[in-house]
Amino acid sequence: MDQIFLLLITILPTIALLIFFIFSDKFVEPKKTVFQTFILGMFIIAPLEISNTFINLVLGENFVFDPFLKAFFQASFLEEFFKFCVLFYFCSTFTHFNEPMDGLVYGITASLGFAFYENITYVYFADTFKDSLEIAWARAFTAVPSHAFDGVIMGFFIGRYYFVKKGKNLNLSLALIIPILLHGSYDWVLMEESISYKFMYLVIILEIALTVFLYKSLSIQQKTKIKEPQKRFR
Amino acid sequence: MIKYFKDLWYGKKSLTVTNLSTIFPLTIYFYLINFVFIDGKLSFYIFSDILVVILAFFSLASIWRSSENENKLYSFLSKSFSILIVILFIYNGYVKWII
Repeated sequence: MDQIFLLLITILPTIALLIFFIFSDKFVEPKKTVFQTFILGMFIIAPLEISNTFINLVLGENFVFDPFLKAFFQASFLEEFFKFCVLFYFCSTFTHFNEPMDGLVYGITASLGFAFYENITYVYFADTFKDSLEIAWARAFTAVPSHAFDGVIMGFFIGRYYFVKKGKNLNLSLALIIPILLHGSYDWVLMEESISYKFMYLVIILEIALTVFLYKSLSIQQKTKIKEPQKRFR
Repeated sequence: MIKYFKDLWYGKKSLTVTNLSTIFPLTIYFYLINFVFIDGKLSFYIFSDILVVILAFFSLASIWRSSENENKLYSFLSKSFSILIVILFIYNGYVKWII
């Protein structure tokens, strides 16, 4: 019974956040494309592992990253970059990717796909059952929502890149830069011993505020729409 | 059943029905897991705490959407109460253990 509850604690936050955002879209995306994006989000781990192996080969096995570099480059930049690739090279080719809100939905889906896999590895590779339970509990309230909010922010700017004529390069840059900065800050305060880990909550609050603001601005736009497709500028 | 929850989610039910269908059972569930079934397993309590937070967010979104065409004071009170419920459940499930 304990194992079933552990599994539920591990997967429930991801699934709930995914359902919450998918069904907050006025024109719900097809299950097939959402599922494909989720699976591809999980497979981000493959290029991530290859990149880390390559970095180890170049810098040597014994090279130790400074916490700042480890947080902002090895963790944040690589993870967000591959999520960005999923959105930019895969999701944008869907015919159903036809309004700004879709960027947000696919952004969070790719992000939660990765968070889902990462969560399972962290929980099930812990030493004891108690550790697994503690990790699953803490990540349900911190890391999983944080990944989701980064996905929302990235997706919002990707959506703007495709559907807003002005400032295309700026939107594309922000789609990568803001999630990297937020994700990097989150990881950095956890890795840097001289900084209290409690600053992590400040990052999460900032992510929540941004997510609510961006989601609200898109949902207001959607309210008056009768049909979904919108003109793409790329 | 699914249609009923979908209607709640999209704010198609009246505010009173939404309040009765979400906040009321949530409060009872919260009371039961915190004050009645107090000899359960730790994993069950963690699961319950997470589930109750998820359901609180569901009720928050439902109340927010269904209060659009309602009396202003009533919708303000419902929204405020649902926000308080979310904060209370997050506090109970996470914050109080890390302070």
